[in-house]
Order: sequence, then C-alpha cells, then structure tokens
Amino acid sequence: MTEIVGKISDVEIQDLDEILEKHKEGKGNNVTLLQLIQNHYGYLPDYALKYVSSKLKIPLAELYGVATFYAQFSFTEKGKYVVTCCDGTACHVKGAPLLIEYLEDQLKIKSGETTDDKLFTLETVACLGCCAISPVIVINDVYYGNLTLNKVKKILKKVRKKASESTEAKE
Amino acid sequence: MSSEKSTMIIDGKEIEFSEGDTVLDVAKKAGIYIPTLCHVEGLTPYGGCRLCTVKVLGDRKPFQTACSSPARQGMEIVTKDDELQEMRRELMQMILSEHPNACLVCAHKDTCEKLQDSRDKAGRVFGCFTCPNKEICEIRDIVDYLEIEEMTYDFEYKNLPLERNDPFFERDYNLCILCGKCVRICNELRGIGAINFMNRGHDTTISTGGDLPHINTDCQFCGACVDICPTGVLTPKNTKWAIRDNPVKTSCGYCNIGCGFTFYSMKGELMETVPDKEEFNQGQGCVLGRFCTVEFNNSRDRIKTPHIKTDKHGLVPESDWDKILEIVKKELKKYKPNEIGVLASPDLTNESAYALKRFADVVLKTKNIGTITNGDAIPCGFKKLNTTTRDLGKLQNSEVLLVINANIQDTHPVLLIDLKKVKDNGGQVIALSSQNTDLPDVTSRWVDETYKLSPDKIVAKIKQFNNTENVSILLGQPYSTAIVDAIVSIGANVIPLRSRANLEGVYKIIPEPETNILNKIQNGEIKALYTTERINPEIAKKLEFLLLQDIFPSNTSRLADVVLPTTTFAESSGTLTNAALSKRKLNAACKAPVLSKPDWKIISDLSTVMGTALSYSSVDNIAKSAENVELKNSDSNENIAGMTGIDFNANLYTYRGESISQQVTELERLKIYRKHGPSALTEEKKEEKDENARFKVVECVEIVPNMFKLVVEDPLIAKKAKPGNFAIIMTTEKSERIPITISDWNPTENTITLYFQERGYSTKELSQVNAGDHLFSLVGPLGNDIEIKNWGTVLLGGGCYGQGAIYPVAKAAKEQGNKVIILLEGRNKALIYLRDEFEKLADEVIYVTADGSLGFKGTACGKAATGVQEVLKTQKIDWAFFVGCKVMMAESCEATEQDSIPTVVSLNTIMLDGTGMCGACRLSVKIDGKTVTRFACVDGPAFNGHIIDWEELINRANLLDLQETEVYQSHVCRALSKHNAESHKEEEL
Repeated sequence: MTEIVGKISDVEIQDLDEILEKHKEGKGNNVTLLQLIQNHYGYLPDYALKYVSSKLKIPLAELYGVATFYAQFSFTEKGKYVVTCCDGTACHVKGAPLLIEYLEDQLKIKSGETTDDKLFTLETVACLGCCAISPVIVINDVYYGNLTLNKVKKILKKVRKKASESTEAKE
Repeated sequence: MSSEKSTMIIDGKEIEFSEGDTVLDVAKKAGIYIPTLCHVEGLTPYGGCRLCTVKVLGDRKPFQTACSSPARQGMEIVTKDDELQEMRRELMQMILSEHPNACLVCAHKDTCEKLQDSRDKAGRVFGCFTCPNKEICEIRDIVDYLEIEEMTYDFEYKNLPLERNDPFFERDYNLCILCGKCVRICNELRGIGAINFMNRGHDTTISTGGDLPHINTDCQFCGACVDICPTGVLTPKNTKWAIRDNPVKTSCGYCNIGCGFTFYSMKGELMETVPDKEEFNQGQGCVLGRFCTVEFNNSRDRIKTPHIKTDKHGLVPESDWDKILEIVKKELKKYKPNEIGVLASPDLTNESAYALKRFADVVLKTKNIGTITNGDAIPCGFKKLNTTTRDLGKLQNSEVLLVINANIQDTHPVLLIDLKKVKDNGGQVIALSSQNTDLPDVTSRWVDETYKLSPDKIVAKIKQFNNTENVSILLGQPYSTAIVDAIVSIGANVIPLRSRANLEGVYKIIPEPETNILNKIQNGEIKALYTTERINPEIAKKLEFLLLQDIFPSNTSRLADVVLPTTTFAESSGTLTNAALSKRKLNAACKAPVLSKPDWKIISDLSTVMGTALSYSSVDNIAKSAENVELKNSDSNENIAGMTGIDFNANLYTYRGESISQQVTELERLKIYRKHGPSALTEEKKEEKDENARFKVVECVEIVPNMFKLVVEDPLIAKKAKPGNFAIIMTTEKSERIPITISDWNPTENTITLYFQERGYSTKELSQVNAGDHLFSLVGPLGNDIEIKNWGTVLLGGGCYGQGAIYPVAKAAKEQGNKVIILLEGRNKALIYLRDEFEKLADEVIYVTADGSLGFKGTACGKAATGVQEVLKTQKIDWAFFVGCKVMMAESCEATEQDSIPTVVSLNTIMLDGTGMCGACRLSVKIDGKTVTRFACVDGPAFNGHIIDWEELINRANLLDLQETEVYQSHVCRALSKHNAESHKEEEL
C-alpha cells in the first residue's frame, strides 16, 4: 500500500477515492468498479488497479482476471477517436477485411493499437449486432453502415478535419 | 443433521453416507475410484474437468459430475461402464490436446521408462521422461485408467515463455490443463490470491495481476500451488529433478508450530520436503519448510568433522572422535564443577536436551546449565501459559482472535490460513501491538481492527473479552507477565509464538538458573563452557575453554577450542514440543554429513569417555528414562516486570543461530525484496566487457522446444573443422565443460554452428547467452574425423540433438556422391528441426514421431519397429550413421547388425577435458572377442556401433545422477570466490 501511494499523485488518489465512494453500494461487483475506473481514465491504469486492490483488500490478480476476461476493458491508453470495425460474419462477407486493411494502412497502426499522436485507436470486434447495415464501423459511439472504401475515406477525412479544428480552437 | 444414516447405491453396493457428502466423497470412503483432475479435498466443488462424470440411474439428467452432486437418499449411480469410459476418454483427449502427450501414447513407453532412468533435465517439458513431475503425475494415472492409446486431436504446443526468474519455483504454462487447482488453493485456502485466470477461451492462462513476477505480488511462496498441481507446470526450482524416494514422515523444525512433513532422500542425501496431508497442517507449509530445508541442510558450508584448536595452525579438522573426546575430557577435568557452564540450544530435541541436562547433573556435576535465548530478555510465564488451553485446531473456530505483537506473515506464515478461516467462519480478528510496526498488506486483509496500545492497555483490551466464549490468542513477543495473567484469567486458547522450534520443550527440561550463564561467564565465574549453539563471540573470548557443538561455522566457532559437528532436524530423530504443547515427532530422513553425530549421541559418547556413562542407545531409550523424571518449569522467570522476550523479527529465520537466508540464496532475495522493495533487486552487476574477448556469440536461439542453435565466432575452428569433430564450451569462468558436436562451419565468416539441447544445469546456463556475449572458452576441433567415402546408399539417423549432429556427415556424404537417406526422430513434429535443410540436401527424408504427428508413428526403432526397420525393408543400405539418445542408437545398431550393415555412431559420454587425460568418457568395445577400453574423446567420438557395450554405456551415463540433481540447489562455488577475494586483497596490499 505505502509503496503504491508514494508513486501516484494526491490528485489521483482523490479521484480514485471518489470512484470508490461511488462504488460503495456495489461492493463485491468488480465489473462495475472496473467500468467506473475505465470511464474515468479511458483505460485501466496499472497503478489505479493496484491502489484499488490494496484499498478494498481484493487481490490484484482477481481484478486483472475479471478485466482480462471482458473485451470491454483496455490496459493501454486509447486515442481520442476509437474506431471499432466489425468483422462479424455478415460484415466479413461484405468486405470488412478490406476496410480494416485500408484503415490500418491509413492510420499506420495495426488493429488494437493507438496512433503515436493518441488520436486514433483501431479495434476489431466480432459482431456489433447491426448486420443489416453491414459492413459497419463505429467511431466513438457513432455508427457508420453500408460502407465502401470510398465512404470510409470520406469519414476519415471528416474526423481528421474535426480533430484538427478542435486542437486549433484550443490553441 | 439427522442422526439416522442415509444410504445410496454405488456400482450395486449399498453405502452409507452422512449429510453434506458429495457422490465423490461417498465413493472415496467406500474405496471406489472415480477419476478427477480438478477436485481438491476441502475446497468448494468445482466441476471443471468433468472426468468424474457418473451415471445417475433414473434421473432426468443421467450424467452428473460426482464432485459437485450431493449424495441423496436412495440415489443409484454407476461409476464405470463403456459409455462413461468412452465419454471420459473423449474429455481427456481434449484436455491432452494442450498438454504434451506423445510419451503418454508412445508404444515404446515401457522400454523407455526402463532405460531412461536418468531424466533429461530439460527446460521445456515435452514428454514424460523430461518431466520433473513424472512420479506424481495425475494425468499419467488417468490415461492408464482410461486406456488411451491413440490421440484423435492434434496436439498444439502453446510455446509460452518459461517463467524461471522467481525464487523457489518455476512455471511452464505450456503444460497447463487449466484445472484451476492452484488458483483455488491460493485464493480459497491460503487466501493470498496471488494468481488467477487471465483472458478467456483458448487464450486463458494462469498468471498474476498484470503478469508481474511473483516476487512483486502478494505471493508468500508457501508452495501450496506447487504441491497441488496435477501436472509439471509448477515445480520447485532447486529440487524439481529429485526423485521422490525413501519417504520419511517427520516434522519441520524451524518454528514452534512443527508442521508435519514428508522428507525424501536419495543415496542418503535429503532431496525434497513436502508438507504432509495427513497431519494437522493438512498438506500446508510455508516457504521455510517447503523450499529452504533441502538447501540449508545440504549446504556445503556445514561443519562435517570435529575440529580442534592448535597453537600452530588454529582450528584444524580431526577425524578421530575418540581422540577428540579424550582431549575434551582432559580439558574439562581441569575445572571445578562450578567453573563449567552448559548451554542448550532451543532447537535441540527434547531427548538431546534431556541428555544434556543429565550430562550436566551427573557427569559434570554442575548447576550452571541454561538455555540460549539470543539476547538477555527471557520470555516469561511459561508455567502459567501451560495451564490454559493450547490448541491449534481451535484457532479457526474462534469468535475473536487476538494477535498480540505478532507479525505472523513473516514469523509463522502457516497461521495465516487460520486467520482467514476465522474470518470465513464469521469471527473477528483484532491485532494489538505495543510497537510501531504496520501489519503487512496480506495480513491486514483479515484484520478487522488494529490497535497500537501500551502494555497496560493491551491487558485491559484482553480483559474485555472475558465473557466471549471462544477467544484465541496468537501471542507474539515481547509480552509481559501482566498480559499472561490476563490471558489466563479469561481462559483463552493461546498459541505463544516462538522464533525457535523447541523453546517450550527445552525450557521445561532445563529451567533457567538463578544467575544467567552468560553473566557468569562475563564475571569470570565460569571458565569452561560446553554449548550446543553459538554464543556472542565477545563473551566467548572471556572463556578459557570453549567446547562448541554446532552445524555451521561462525565467528564463535573460530574462537572455540573444540568444535563438534552435529545434525539438523532432518538428520536426527526425537521430539519437539510445539506451541500447542504436543510432541512433534522427528524422524531421521537422511544421513548426517561425514562425521557429524546427533547431539544426544555426542553427549552419550562423551559421558562414557568422562567415566560416568549415560549409555543412551537411542532416542526412545532417552525418552523412556526421561519418563520417570518429573519435569517442571522453573519459577524464576514467571514474574518479570515489563515486557520480556525478544522481538523475533530481529532474528527472523534462524536455526541453531545460523541465519537460514545465509545458506539459501533465494530466501535472501525474498528478504531483501520485502525489506527494501523491488528497486533493491534490480541492481545487477554488469561485467565489464573485454575488448579482446574471443568466442563472440553471433546467435543463440531456441529453434524448437529445448533445442538451441548456437553460432559462435572462432576463425581457427571454422578453418579446421571436419565432420565428426566436436568442441568443448565453457559458458562462464565457473561453468562446467560441455562437449558439443560441430554441425556446420563457415571459414569465410569465421563462424561455427552448434546445436545443443537443454538437458541439465550447464546447458541451461549456455542456453541463456545472448548474441553479442562472449563465451568464456571454446576448444576444438576435438575428436577424430569421420572418413566419408562413396559407399552407395547411406542412412543417417538423428534424434533430438542428433538431428543437428548428422548434418555435417550428410553434407559430406552427399559431396562424395552417395544416395543419402535421412531419418529424423522426435516425439512430436514440433521437435523436428532442420527440415528444410535436409529436404534440400538429402535424396529422401523419413520422419518418425512417437505420437504419429509426422511420418511414421513410433520411434527410430525398437520393438515398435518403424523407422530403421522400415527403411531396411525397402532399401539396400551400404553404410549407416546414428546420433541420438543412447537407447535410440543402441537399438538402431541392433537393427543394422542383423543385415551386417557397417554402422557408425557418435557417442555423447560424460566428458571433462576432451584430450584423453581424465578417462571419464571411457567405454568398452569388443575387438576380436576381447573387451577393450576406449576413450570417446580421443578414440572417437565415432565408433563402430556393433562392438559397443551399450549396457555399460547407459549405466555410466547415470553415474552422476545425484550430482546432476543436487546442482540445482543454488550453491555458489566458494573456492573461486574465496580465491578472488584473496587475490583482491593482495592487490590492495
């Protein structure tokens, strides 16, 4: 405990304590706890799990066991835009592998990775449940269906433009 | 629970059962075997492997798992019939598709088992005879029970990295069948939860959180997971290759719990210590008993012979016990009885302590006898504590468990189980401490309340529980008389924790004298001392005569006039009185080193020489004579004001004054880690690189499991090498010399290529070199060249490392214009390498695998007769050459002998210098009916395969079995370190 506390900042301890406070009622439900942490950080940082583990007296391996079981949890920091490509049966038949290859080529990352500028994360999933509009990709909870390479090209352009605008606005 | 017994029918037999039993429990009690892989007695039923599926007659769902189905009145089940067996066979085959299975279904199994007694001590286990778990493997039992002879599913080797860097145990998850026993015992019973299932589906593995090394987690290295693993995934690092022979039931002698253990030995040497399932500790132990005993006991530093101080040379060894006892007699007779003191070690057995007491009373006639307490503070209130309940079994049912001044995680880790059980049973755990020390993380999981209180307030706190029924107390040190009184007044169950194994027993036999012996020495009242444990050297200097009986050299032994070598708890019999006042039996499990003798024996022998023979013949004999004597705790230390007893965190992990971590390097590592955190361990000394260093490693990679390709720069060997030559490698300055066949050489790039198999300590060391490193030495080319002519058709057979070794011969044979047939043998296709090279080079390549995954099913030859015999049937062979294990070579030669085909084999004997000097590599060959001795290094390594005495050769290979097993007990070559230290000193001067 002391070992971990020394390594993370007070602000983070405060954040995590808040999460634990929220989680109080759902005690024993590790999935909700992990979801709260992931919502806060966008992923599950190693130190956060260690802190929570020693604070709640739950073995660290137990938390990791749950977290690695579900595909929804990530251990690496994700990009600003999470591009989820469906490669389920319907999408696969309708050419999802081509879309994934195109995206990998364009973003210069492999599926499951994040670009160096932390803008994009590319993921593939088995089925999103909307096979009627296959092939499908989802970018930050927005669904794009009936895709072609051309459409993906446009979407990517749009997202990139939006991203650069928002960074400019910030500056 | 109803008092009437219910009954059920298993396989037509009516069997009684009690409520709460599962079908498996009932069957087990009735002696009916149901196969299981994932069931652990005492843990929640799991139903993971489903091998225990039985047929419940008349039920809607007839197939149910016996381990998780509760027994019901009138239930009728069948445990074994064709349908069930077929189902189990199917299940088992699926389980085996992820566990190396070639050896399990190999038709050659029996022959192999008979001939391969010395196991390959390989890194990756790929079959039974390279598996450290072979004797205790549950999978083998079940395969035999189910009579599986053929595998329907392809085996998939996961090729996960070996986890070898943690202290005490290694992990090879390529063997894991995911039964989850380790996870469950760690979480459910031990409550540590260091490991769990990670990922899911096909990718499921067992790991720590975030794949951290175990040393960085909560792991206590108790070894529970190692002992429960049904396969060879988890194995003790230092004793994994020990064959579990000569079991002796005994007890651990490190702390005053005295867990029941089974000790195994080989040729009289202690090999393995495993907690006993039938004892009160139910198969549980801690890091000390499980992993440190063997190394501590077998340490090369032990005092093995008596020593005597001489004027000229200081302390010198003396092999004659009679002579040394005469000297002791002469010296002791110089002093008056009250000038002689006797000190007992709190690690002595009750019998030895009694003998010592009698020796002081009857032989020396001195009253100066006491116990060493490692400091001046003596724990008080032994007598009073004896009047309360002392029961280890009652701990887990306590309503309130008080932990007073104890850090059990470090001192008595096995009691953590009870802490968890108290919590599981709804009790309360309260920690009281008079010192400012935090409880470790793991312990604090089960502690409800922690108080830092003054001694008086601790007394008050104890008294609060006066009306609580089941109060148990773990009493650490220091404590006060007032605390003892409070405990006695509330009638609690108390377990006093002592740092030493038999303080309770020795104190009872040898009460504390009125004046402390050590004080008397300092006063000069005592001039001669007979002590069974080292004392403070400063005090020892005041003595005129010091007789020390000890197991390890120390600063005190260097001052002693006579040193007598004695035994550890593994080497002597007797009893120890534990915290619950029950007598834990010790049984000698191994031989005492060289001239050392048990304490009681030395005392008895000395008494005979001194003229008043105690004449004890055995420990039972002593115990019997002690029976008639009433033993009483002394009153002198019953009432002492203030806190007494040392804080034994200070001298944690000691046995007879010797620090255990001093002898067990891994424990030292763990200790440093726990004290200073992870940063303390990462510091590794990097050796300076010598610019002129030769033998640069270009490449060292594992090409198939356990087989390594090593490319080394050496221009001279690269120029001179010929087929059949070998080189001798030393990885580091302290390494063993390993002879390896030179498989390829490139004079333009100045490199040579060698293929070697990790099959022991030294090859393991070699396998860990990286590209860019330099080998310490490389000698070659050695041995005779194999003369290659144009014979016509040649057959070259290679198994394991031999696949690489036949490569240069194949190349040369091809150049001479022969038709080259290559036969490659392995247990599974994953073990065959150099395939592309041979396919390109040879006219024909034949594969033989034990499980039939590639080419013929079978071995190179033998009764299962595929391989060589298959080739001989169809081809006319003019010359044959075999390299592989001795069994493979012997049997291949037998096959070619029938057709009188000239056959050459390349031998891999034990070898030292490689130049014909040592003779270690000798073998017998028959020439003209006469047996002649040849040396593999200078006369070979290639020999006519038909004239070799194979039986002798195989026997000689097992010659160093004990040493090969022992070397894993991480010893350090002290000769060299001593030499280096001395030469450094000289440089400084």
